[in-house]
Amino acid sequence: MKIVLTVLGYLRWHYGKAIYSLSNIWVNFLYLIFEYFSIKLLFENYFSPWKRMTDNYPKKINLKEYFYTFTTNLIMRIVGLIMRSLLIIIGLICYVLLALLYPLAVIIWLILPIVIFILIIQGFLIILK
Amino acid sequence: MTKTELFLKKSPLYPALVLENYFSNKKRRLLIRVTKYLIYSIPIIIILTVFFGNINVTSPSNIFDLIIKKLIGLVMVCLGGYILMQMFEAYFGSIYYLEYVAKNKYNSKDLYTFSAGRILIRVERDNLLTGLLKSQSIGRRIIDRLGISKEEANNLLLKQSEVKNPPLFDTENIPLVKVMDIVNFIYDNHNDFRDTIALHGLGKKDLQATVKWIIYDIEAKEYERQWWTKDKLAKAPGVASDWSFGRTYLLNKYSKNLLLDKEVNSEAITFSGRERELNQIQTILARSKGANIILVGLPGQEKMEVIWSLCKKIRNKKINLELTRKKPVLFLTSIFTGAVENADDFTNKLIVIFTEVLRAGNIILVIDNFPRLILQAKQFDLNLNEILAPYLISNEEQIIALSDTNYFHTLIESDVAMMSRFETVMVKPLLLDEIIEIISREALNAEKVYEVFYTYPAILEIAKSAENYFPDGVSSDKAEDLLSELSPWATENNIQIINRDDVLKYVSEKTNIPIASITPDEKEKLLNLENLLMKRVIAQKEAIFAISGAIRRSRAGIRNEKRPLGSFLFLGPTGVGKTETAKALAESFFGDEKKLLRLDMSEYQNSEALARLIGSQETNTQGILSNMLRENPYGVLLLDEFEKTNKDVLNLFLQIIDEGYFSDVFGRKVMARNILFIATSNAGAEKIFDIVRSGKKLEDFNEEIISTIISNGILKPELINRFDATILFRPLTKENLSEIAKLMLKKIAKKLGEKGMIINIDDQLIDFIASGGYNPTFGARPMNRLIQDTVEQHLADLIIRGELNRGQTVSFNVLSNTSDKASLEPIVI
Repeated sequence: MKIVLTVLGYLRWHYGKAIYSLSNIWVNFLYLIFEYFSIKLLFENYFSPWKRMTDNYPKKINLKEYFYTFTTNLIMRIVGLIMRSLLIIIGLICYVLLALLYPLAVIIWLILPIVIFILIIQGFLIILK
Repeated sequence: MTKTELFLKKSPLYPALVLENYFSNKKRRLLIRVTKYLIYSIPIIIILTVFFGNINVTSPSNIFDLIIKKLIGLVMVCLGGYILMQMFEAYFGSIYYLEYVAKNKYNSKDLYTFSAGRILIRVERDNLLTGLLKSQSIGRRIIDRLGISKEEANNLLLKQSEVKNPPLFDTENIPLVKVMDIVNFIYDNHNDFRDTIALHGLGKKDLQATVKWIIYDIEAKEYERQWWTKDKLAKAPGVASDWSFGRTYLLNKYSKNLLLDKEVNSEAITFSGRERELNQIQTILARSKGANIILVGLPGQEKMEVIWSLCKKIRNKKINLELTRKKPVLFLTSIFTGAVENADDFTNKLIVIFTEVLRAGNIILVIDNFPRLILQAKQFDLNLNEILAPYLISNEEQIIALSDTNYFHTLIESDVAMMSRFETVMVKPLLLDEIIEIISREALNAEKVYEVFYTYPAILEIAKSAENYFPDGVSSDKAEDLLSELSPWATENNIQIINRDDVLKYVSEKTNIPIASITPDEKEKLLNLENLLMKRVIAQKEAIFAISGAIRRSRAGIRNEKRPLGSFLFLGPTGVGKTETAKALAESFFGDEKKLLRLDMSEYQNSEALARLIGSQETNTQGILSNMLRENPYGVLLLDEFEKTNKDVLNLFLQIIDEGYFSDVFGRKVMARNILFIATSNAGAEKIFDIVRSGKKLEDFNEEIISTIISNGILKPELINRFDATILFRPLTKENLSEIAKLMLKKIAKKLGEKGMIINIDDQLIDFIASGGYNPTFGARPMNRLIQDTVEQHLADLIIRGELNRGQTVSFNVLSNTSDKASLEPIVI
């Protein structure tokens, strides 16, 4: 009696709450990708110079130096922009791939009890034959 | 069906509990390991056999074919078993909510927590204690940690025939039954259980702390396994987290990234009890302007523990979003001050460093030992506040300066300009309960390394001993140090289960203070203390009985541990045995006359007296009293002529006798809780003489004498009342003097005996010393002098002249015995 109750309890969990938990875990993974590639931060500072490597503009008016500083700072901003764009693209690809894997994970989860059953029964049959 | 069973079945957790009865988590994890190894190793065996076993696969023999087939079958079974066990693990993982470690996800439908269920499912006849004693996974662990032996537990179990109806099943009272509820009920309703733990010196509070410890241990392990939670995944550092922030070249030379510290990264190291300080820091750091903090605490690790806790929160992203992007960096002041050459160098480097921090945009600069930086600036005739002002008022710079309490009071607090730039956060010393919690968790780590087992009474004793027997530093640091020393010591001494007595034994060894169980030798001494003392001290029975009692109380552990071992005020004329009593005590109980520490209080009368005793900051000298007690934390401290010192010193002793410690001028605690204080005074001696002369009983006039001393303004009543007892020493009678003379002469005889010579002590000689050596003002004190001048002098002369040799006996003839001339004539036989 206890065993039947236990098996039923387990199956109720497997085809109920567990799927919900699995979805939660998937959301956690998606969050991990988002955090790992710092996507939010990258967008926030999209046009910032690379690692804040900028020169200060001259205090006295000097066109040549002013232009020099301007170019350096612009290059740093472009470097930053390229690097950020690259990372954002890689991050988003991973994000989409992981999202696509979710239905597959659910399907595997759903058939897992049957797979176990087959593996054990078939395995014993082979051993005993 | 019992009530407990009915109750259990109502919860959705019940199937999981039943499943656990068949597959306990130990079994599940063992199966997972075994099947995993088989799944890996069988295919490898098959491949290796095919390649190296000279077996022709194209035409395999029948047996080989069969074996391969069966092995494949085995792999399939193992794989099935492995996946099944993993699924069970997932099942438990999703039901086994955590009570303490992570957020509590239980709801009232569950009726009980999983841990509570593990106990309830083992309950027989609705008697909860049976469940506690029978559940191996939780109950027995609590029992073991309490230090209760297997026999005791089994005896308890045998006695459990009575049915107790626990009110836990009334869900209105307790909507969710936790282990704590079960244990509380057992404690309140099972006298036998209560008595058993009382035998181990524990009460309800200790039981609850033990339960919390066990549940924490189980849940921490469970939490560690659950790598898929959002909390855990959030810990992964982002690839581009520092792309938008500047670099710090010079700062890197004199600093380290705190996020890389092992204290921050290790799951095993946890800091608790710092929430108050952390909340304050977070609030200040969240401000847009003037987010600078000065973190003040006692010398030791406490301040860094707060910082590490903050770093942990940042790393685990359990802090407001703005702060999660911050990088706390520890500025190593000592390396910086060692590297700067002159004032210009100091200023320039600091400006560069602070500008770098400003430009980087994500740094929280933690300045270690901030007072050192201020002092260094002062040495260069600079004002640190002026150099740093532009950065301290900036919106983007966040600074946390660390300072020891005493330097904070002397250097920083008085500097109004500096104080206006910082918010002060004081690190509050941890309470005993918090220290217990910390070291109990650390004990779990130590247990893994050293293969020892700590009981809760041992943990409790570590926390208490750290406070009582090690005066310097912060209690939590000391307790942690003690714990880290104990584990290897236990391993060396083949102690596997560390109990309270083991801790006491170790502390005894380390401090030379006898706190471990009383040894037979010591027991003998304690019971005969009066006799031992009376061998040396003549005629002062009352004093001896009072002191002996105090020592026994202290050793039996029923004294107030927050006060000194004992404190006595000896009143009486000079030379009646006050000092001798103290000496005798040091020798007979503390084992060595050197354990007698002595301060002649008449030397501490002027205004510098206090500074000499507790140290002076102006001259940077240590105090005589603080050094004395640090070097000798256990012994007798004799305060001669106590009444002659000044008011400040008397107030200092008032505090010491009351609280058992004092702080020296540098703010360091000095413990006096294992010191027996004996203050002597001859105030009231005249009155004592009068009373004895008139033939009255001295004991009846105790209060009268004390009130005379108070009314004459010699000692204050609050000071006299602080002493454990005021003891009157009576003037010596003629008989007493003869006895003392005999004792003194016997001492000489003993010394001579060691050289093989004999001295003949007859009544004539005793009389000579007793009458000649007595003076009404100085008591028996002149007796020593007389012996020196006469007996000892003659003996010395005889030995040097070679007239007294081994085996010979010397006697003395009295030639004259008047007060102005006393002489003896030695006769050698």
